[in-house]
Amino acid sequence: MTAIVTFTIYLAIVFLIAILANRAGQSKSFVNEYFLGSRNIGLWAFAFTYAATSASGGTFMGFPSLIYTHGWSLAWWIAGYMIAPLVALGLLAKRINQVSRLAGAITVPEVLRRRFESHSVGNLATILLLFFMFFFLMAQFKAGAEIMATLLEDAPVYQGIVLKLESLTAGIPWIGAAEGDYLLCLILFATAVIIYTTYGGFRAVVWTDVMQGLVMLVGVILMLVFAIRQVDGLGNATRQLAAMTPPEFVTVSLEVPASADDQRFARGRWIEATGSGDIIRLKSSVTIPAGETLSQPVEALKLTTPAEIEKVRARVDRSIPVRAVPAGETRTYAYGAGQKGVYTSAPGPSADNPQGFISVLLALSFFAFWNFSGAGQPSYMVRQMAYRDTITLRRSMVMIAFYFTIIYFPLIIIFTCARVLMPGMEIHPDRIMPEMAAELTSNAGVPWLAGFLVAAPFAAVMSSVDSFLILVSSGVVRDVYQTSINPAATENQVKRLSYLVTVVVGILGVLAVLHPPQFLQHLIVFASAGLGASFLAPMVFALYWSRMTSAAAVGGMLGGGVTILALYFAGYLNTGKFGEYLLLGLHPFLWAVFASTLIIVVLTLKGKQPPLALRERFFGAGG
Amino acid sequence: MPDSEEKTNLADSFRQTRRELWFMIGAWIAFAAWTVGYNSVHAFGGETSGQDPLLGMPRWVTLGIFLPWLAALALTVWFAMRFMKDTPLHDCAVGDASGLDAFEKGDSEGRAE
Repeated sequence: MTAIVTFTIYLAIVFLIAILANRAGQSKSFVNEYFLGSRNIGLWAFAFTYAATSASGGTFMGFPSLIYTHGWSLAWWIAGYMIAPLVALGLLAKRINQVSRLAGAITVPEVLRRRFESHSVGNLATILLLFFMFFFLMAQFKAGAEIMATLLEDAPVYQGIVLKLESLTAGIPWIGAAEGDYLLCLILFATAVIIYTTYGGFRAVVWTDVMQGLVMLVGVILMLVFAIRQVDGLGNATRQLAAMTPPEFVTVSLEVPASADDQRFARGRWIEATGSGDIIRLKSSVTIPAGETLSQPVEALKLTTPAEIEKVRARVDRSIPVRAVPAGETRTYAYGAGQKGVYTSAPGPSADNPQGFISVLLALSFFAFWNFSGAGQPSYMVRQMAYRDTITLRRSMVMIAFYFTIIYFPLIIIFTCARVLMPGMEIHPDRIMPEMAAELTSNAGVPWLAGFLVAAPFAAVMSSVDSFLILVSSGVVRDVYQTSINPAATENQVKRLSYLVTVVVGILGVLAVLHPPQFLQHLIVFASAGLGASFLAPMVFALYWSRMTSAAAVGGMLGGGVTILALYFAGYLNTGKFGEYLLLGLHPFLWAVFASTLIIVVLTLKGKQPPLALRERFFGAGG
Repeated sequence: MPDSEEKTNLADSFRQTRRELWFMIGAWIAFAAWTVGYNSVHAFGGETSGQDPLLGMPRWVTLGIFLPWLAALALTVWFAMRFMKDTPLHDCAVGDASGLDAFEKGDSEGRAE
């Protein structure tokens, strides 16, 4: 309960910031203020809004779940972040700010539209941005709902509301099929973010990012200290990890003595199977009706590491003797089953991939991906257009470099420790972060602090959702309505439409994510890759190559975006699941950037040089 | 449209920014080579599980990721504070309340298409 109070205070502060931001921007031009904070963002605000937007639901939900599942190999997967502040800001920040000012542009599509004086370029950029950004929104909404569900799950009032909501939505197509707790939390989360983003605009987003960035920083440092102390030192945790073997997935029916009442076994419950002595954990809830003794088959996870089994045995509820009767095949990890050392070495265990989690080529792909895909994200580009001067940029680069180091590397340590402290989380890996926060604070005797620690990933998700909402609404209002439909729109019309679009996009995001895929990170990587592939090469060449033509910009964006879609579609055909196809072992992002670059170079060299006046406008004397 | 002095300044700042771009690309290649090169030799294989941790982490993580991470941090600080130069950002006053460019309002539609 105290955790909920702490968390509520945090939300109240966010709303207060939105109100202050709204007041601060009232005397300024609406469009420039609402979408770009009047291009006057200072050191702290720029550094934290950039860093907080980068640290999203993926960082605090998807990434921890992968560390937990695959062990230390994730350190290699994320290693590109070591140089990301230098690459991402060194690549575009100075030039995009300069060019956007010269062009008087407020959005990313607008920069491209004016750089090439081409509506085709601007319109295509808007379409690609809206399409891929929507997947990002979906992922963040899911993350926000998951965190909230973990925080509220033990509150009796909450359980009552969930049951009411389930009965209200039963029978409604699409909505009724969503789990009640997830649906409720999704609605609560989305409502909060949509309200403060709509009300406060870009300035509120930036200011809340500063606060959320600080919350994340303090949250990670506290978790790191708690985690290392509770595993008796990192070296001890690494040695325990080295002795672990991956779990197995089993399908069982639970056999119990007959009872006059229904007997319910909740998801996540540990069971010591009578007879075999196996320790299993239920992946979903199961109910045995009154008078019956055998449940429907249910999937469960079976531990295989002796130390983990001993640790969990003490927690098993033995009030009812339960026998687990095999009701299907046992599934082992495709790579790493029965092997010690898989959690402390590459390629890392994998439930699906017989080659393991990471290969050398994939590691290289991700070293490029985190840097260059990050640089190609419009949500970062728009921030790079908003800082005040280059002194702000240089100092921010230093702050962001320290920030990333303090956030990303400690997360790897924290969640390798989570494997030692919390066995069996493979049943719901995306919830490892809030569960770990609750476990660490409870073990440390400060359960009230869980609210603050959970606020860290929540802050990460919020700071990303609000940025994406603003970006998507600016795409619709500025790049579609104001540019193509009604150039003579009054400020009041634009204002009303901006509010409306932010709300509508938020609601569509909620509806789309009622039935999300299991791993958040898949959605996030897809959206990042799509945006990076569509915008990176066209923007870099647009800023550094005066000869580049509008036809090359269109070709480059299409080439990048279509390559990503094609390789994800191939991945779906190959495995039957949402995921990428690694052509020659390389991530689709690399192929897409290669295709995009090639198209740009060929079309530019074959095309007619742009007019000198246009070149001199953005590149100076001589063009 | 910038005047001739502004055009010269803009061209100078563009060249400086391009130098910074090349430095950044070189730095990325160097750190990619260190991290991927070292780990492709030392991160794989069961024998890594038998080694004592170094600074609490598997040895390949300490030497192939943690150490270059610290080096990259130091390089970023140096790049931002020493190598990168301050340049003017050339503010452009937007013509009217709509904020639309002349060509967007149809004054020179399709000029560069």
